[in-house]
Amino acid sequence: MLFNSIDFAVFLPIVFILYWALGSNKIKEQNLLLFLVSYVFYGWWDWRFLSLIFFSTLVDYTIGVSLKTNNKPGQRKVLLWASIIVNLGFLGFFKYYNFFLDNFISAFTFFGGSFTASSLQIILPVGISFYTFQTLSYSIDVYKRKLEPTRDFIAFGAFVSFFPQLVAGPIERATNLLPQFYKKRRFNYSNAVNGLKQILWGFFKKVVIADNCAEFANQIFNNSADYSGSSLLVGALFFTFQIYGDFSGYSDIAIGTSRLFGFNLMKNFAFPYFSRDIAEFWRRWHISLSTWFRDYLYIPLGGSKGGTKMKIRNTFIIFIVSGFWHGANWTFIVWGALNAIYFLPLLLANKNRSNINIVAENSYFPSIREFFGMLTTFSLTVLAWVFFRADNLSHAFAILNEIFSTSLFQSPSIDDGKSLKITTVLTIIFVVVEWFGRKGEFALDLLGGSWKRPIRWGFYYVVLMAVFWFAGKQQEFIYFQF
Amino acid sequence: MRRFLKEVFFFLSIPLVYFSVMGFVNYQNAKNQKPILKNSRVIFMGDSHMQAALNPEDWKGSVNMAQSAEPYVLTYWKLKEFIKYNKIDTVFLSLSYHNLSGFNDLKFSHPRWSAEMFKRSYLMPELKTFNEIPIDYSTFYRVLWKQYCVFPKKKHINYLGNFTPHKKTDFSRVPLTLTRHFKNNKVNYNFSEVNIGYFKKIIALADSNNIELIVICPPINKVYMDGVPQKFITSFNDLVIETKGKGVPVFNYTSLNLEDEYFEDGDHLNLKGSKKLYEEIRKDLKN
Repeated sequence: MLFNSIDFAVFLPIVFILYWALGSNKIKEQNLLLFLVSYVFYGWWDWRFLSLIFFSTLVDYTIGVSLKTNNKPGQRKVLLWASIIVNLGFLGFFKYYNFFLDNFISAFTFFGGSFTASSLQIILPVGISFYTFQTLSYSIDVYKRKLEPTRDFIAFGAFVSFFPQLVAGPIERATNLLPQFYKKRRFNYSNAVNGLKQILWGFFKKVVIADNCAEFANQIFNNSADYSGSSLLVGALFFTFQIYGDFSGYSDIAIGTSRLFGFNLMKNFAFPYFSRDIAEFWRRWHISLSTWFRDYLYIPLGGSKGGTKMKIRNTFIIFIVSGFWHGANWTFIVWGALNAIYFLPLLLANKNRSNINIVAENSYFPSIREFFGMLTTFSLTVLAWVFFRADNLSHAFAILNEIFSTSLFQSPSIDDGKSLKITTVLTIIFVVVEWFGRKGEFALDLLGGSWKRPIRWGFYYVVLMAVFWFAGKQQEFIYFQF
Repeated sequence: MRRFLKEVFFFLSIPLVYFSVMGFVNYQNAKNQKPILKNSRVIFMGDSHMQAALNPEDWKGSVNMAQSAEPYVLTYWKLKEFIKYNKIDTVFLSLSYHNLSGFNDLKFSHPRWSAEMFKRSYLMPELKTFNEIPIDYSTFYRVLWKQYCVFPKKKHINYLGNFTPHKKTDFSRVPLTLTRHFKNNKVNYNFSEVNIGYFKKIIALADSNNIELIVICPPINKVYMDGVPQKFITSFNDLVIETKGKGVPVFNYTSLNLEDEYFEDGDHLNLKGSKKLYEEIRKDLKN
């Protein structure tokens, strides 16, 4: 079920009323309801893959219980590996089978061999990368004794399949989300109102910004040979806002929806395009994935404690794996590697934590130094997104080649003047609102808190109207494919 | 909880009441509107090609009702409505290569065109049962909401076109236009059987209402012409022969080879080109 669909507009109020009608004391019943409706939510897309998520839940639940009772290090390790193999096995098969097969054949052919095998028509189950990582974190934390394994299968099932964040995150840690399923959830008025505000802003990001930018980004990237360097750069800029609006919009809707049910999910985006360096960008972009890789891959590999060689190796590993997590295509791997190259100088110079605080924290506008820092980081990010969006590596290089040619100085020529102007204006307004709301959890969080009700409501009506008035053509969330 | 539900209900009820009242008022207003044309004896119909080609000031008692990107299905519905309320003698209808392309089948579902098409056609009774090409219903309902529920609106008939003169000449967008007209994700479009079918339906409609239909194929610049896929050129020529065979006059100026200065871009005339075309048609009509 898509958040931006009529189905969800009907689904959410019904579940909300049923959930609170059960009463705060009925934790088990509430969990069962969440477990069931989450399966309905997921099954709306394709019910056949419910068995996959159920199996994954069952395996990790059983392994968790076994880890609790088993104290033999060897056996515990076997149990952990069983969880890793099952989870990554599913992920590997559904997401990467054809990629590895095709590349294996190419390599074999390159060295003069002859090998034939046909690719499989595999449907990628929506959200598999997200819930796989979520369940993996549970098994690893239980193995490391950071988390007490649960004996409540329904609570665990609800944790794995919790519908607001099931298909595109935030990738929750069991240590944060699972205990919330054991506790009494009291309805909190201000938390719920804030949740609605966050949902509203999420819809604005997705429906107004991402879907409208998508129209131009798709048009330009799909017909890149027809465009000059300047137009391709505009296309890359539109994609930059599309992917941010799309993914952070989803996260906002997910976090806001969870708040309506008394749950607190982790923050997934913290105004990443206002970052002053790449290290800061990666602390603010897809936080739940970055920290997952930091905790479960980077630190176990030695992190940045070792020598220079180890730092370089670990940085490349984490960024390349992160790129590969997004999809089975060399474009994502290069996108990851490119970000590693951006990040390494900061790490080696020990300047990767120089911008921890919020930019221009005590003023309206950034300093010149901050401004140029933001501009540089943003530009580097835009170039990296070209790899992320391109169909393949040669497509990406062709686009970059044109961008860095003399045609960059031609006036951009994009087919469709009127909605192009509207989309540009809306994007500028969006950036301004995000800038003034950057101190909150999300842009509308602190904005208007002290305003009188008619003005505050008037502002929300304007945002709501914009969502309906300027909605672009309904598009699936980009991260559903990951 | 009760306070939250009450507040949410109150918050939502204000716009809901407003939209309902506005919707009722606008609907009542729209119901009685009719497309009565001032100059109704000669009508120019079609898409942006016709919109830029024939200036009603050059033709006595004429009106240009063409609108950009208009597919023939919409032209057909428009003509039916015009016939109901006006006395029409002659219709000039434009025809060009791109009118045969499958991109016309996306007019009611593509993000670029669908909202505009629904804006023009939401009063058309035929739209309710039209299912020959994909329809984007979410955009349709959004357009309906915008037209009826948001502002008080006097004019609901949005399908009346006009002559749009262009002064400049600029060929820089020709590759983009060719891609838009003939290619879908780097592959050539197929023919639009629906659009071609409605072209034929317009001929039949004019015939059954004793309206003289004249098909005009406006001139096209060589830059654009060179990029038109051969299959569309062949099929276009066949359609011209077929139309002539039905006794419909076809004035085909696609290969007129006008100088660049007569064009706005690769496939639209500018004001100078429009005057030139007028002279050519006059000459041919005399013959």
